Amino acid sequence: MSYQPTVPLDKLPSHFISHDTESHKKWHTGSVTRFASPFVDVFKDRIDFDPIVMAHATTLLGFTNRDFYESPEIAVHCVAYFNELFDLLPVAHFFYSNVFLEKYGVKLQTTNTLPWIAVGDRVVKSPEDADKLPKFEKEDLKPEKCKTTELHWRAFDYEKANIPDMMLPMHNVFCLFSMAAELVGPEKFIIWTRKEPKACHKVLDSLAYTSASGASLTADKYGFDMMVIGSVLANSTVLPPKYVKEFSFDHQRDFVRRALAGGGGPQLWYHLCGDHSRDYTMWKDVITTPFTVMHIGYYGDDVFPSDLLKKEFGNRMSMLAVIDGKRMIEPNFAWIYEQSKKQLLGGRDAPRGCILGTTCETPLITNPGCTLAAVKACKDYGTYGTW
Amino acid sequence: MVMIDVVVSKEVEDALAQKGISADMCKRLVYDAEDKKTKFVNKVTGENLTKKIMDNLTLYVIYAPAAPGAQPVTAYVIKKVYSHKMRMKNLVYTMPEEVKDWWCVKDNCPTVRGQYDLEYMNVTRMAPTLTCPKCQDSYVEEDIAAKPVAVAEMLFEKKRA
Repeated sequence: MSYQPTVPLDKLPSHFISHDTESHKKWHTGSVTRFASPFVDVFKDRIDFDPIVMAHATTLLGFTNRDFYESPEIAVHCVAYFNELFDLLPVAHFFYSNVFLEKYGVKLQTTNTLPWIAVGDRVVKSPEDADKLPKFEKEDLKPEKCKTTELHWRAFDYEKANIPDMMLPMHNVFCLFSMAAELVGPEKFIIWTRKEPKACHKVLDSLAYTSASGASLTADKYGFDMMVIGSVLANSTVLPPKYVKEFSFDHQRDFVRRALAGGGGPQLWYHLCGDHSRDYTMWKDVITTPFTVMHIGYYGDDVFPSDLLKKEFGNRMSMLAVIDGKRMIEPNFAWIYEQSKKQLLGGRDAPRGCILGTTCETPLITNPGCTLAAVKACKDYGTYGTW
Repeated sequence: MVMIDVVVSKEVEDALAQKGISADMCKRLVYDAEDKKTKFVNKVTGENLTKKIMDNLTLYVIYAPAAPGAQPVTAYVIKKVYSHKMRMKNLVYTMPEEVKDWWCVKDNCPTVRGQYDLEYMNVTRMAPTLTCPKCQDSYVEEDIAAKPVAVAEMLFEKKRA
């Protein structure tokens, strides 16, 4: 399925309003102060809302899902514009799941509604295959040799050239366990955690090493990178807590320490998608830097309560209280507003700052009325502290 | 006081001058560490790490025997010096299973990964440390001091000015 960008990339900047306008500068200055609040304890007007917008930004603004994933220039300019439209974060971003998998021989493709997904045969068919998995160095991951780096650096270079005030170099680790499952096959990999644990660790070691190399490479070029580290498939519904620790948490710690030593970070964003009702306590012991955010999606079928998040993590790092992302598609703005209110009231006096967000990426077909409802709740109830 | 010589190369001395730190102060820090055994030693590289907490700076010195393997050690070479302005406040927790190559000389045991609350300009945030599980003495490693902690200091100064 061939792909052409909706707008030729050389003409893209001319489709957006320049960031030199006074109205943009005024919005951006205020937004930067608000964005920094949770990290420096200087509290601006209200708590920020971060819907973790990805291809929804492109589709809402008249572009396509594939524009987001295959033309990162379109992605970051749309995210920047979307953020200003809804008075959200002062930064653009570009990332996706399944990073670096093409280096292992995985065939990835996008569709009109899906991000980069693995298609075709699994790369690791036996435990012996796991022994042969390479660990990629920085040299192997340069953009001319690696599609993941090429796409991300195109986004960052475009930001630097066209919207430098909203530039945010990032390194998305995604979920090491989920990516290992893509290499082996999800059901098989989960069974392997019991029957072939050594092979699982080989795969995870390779992915963690490669990802740390990638984080270091991007930091070398741009000076820093915000690292997003996830535990998505490795959650309480799929694995018992001791397996979450052994096959996700421990490898994440290995990645983070290695990546920090290589110059990655300093911001760390822990994104625990899915149900973490039985394993959340272990995540208190993640490696943290002064700029660390903890984001947990669900407690069973419900959103992770912000008061529990504050109690367990609030004295250790900044926190992201969540509203249910899957409800963001419904025309029920009052429900989103009420859940936002509840989560804000539970988390707004977190000692090291609070942000409101969605449980995971806001869906492609998010209802913009829901985004507005969450922002309105932040304005009405997102004061810092209980004052 | 043990009788040892401490050598500071021109390169290190120049780097110290840029930070406004005297070579003599670093030498005294090494003498003190050797005298009181307030240091960590890396069992793999043979390097030593010690620190001094001052009013507005924590200074770290990495040094090694001038003649590796020779006993007794009569001279040390200062290899690196680094610092951070965030004040070390309290140890929050340790990861006992994450054992490091660095050993606490005073307690003769390997250090583990710790997380320490650091404070600067009335903002308290955590950073990873090497920590002795017995005496709980903790050291911020060079890469952590150079990047996450340095960025935090810069941002706090900017935003809280």
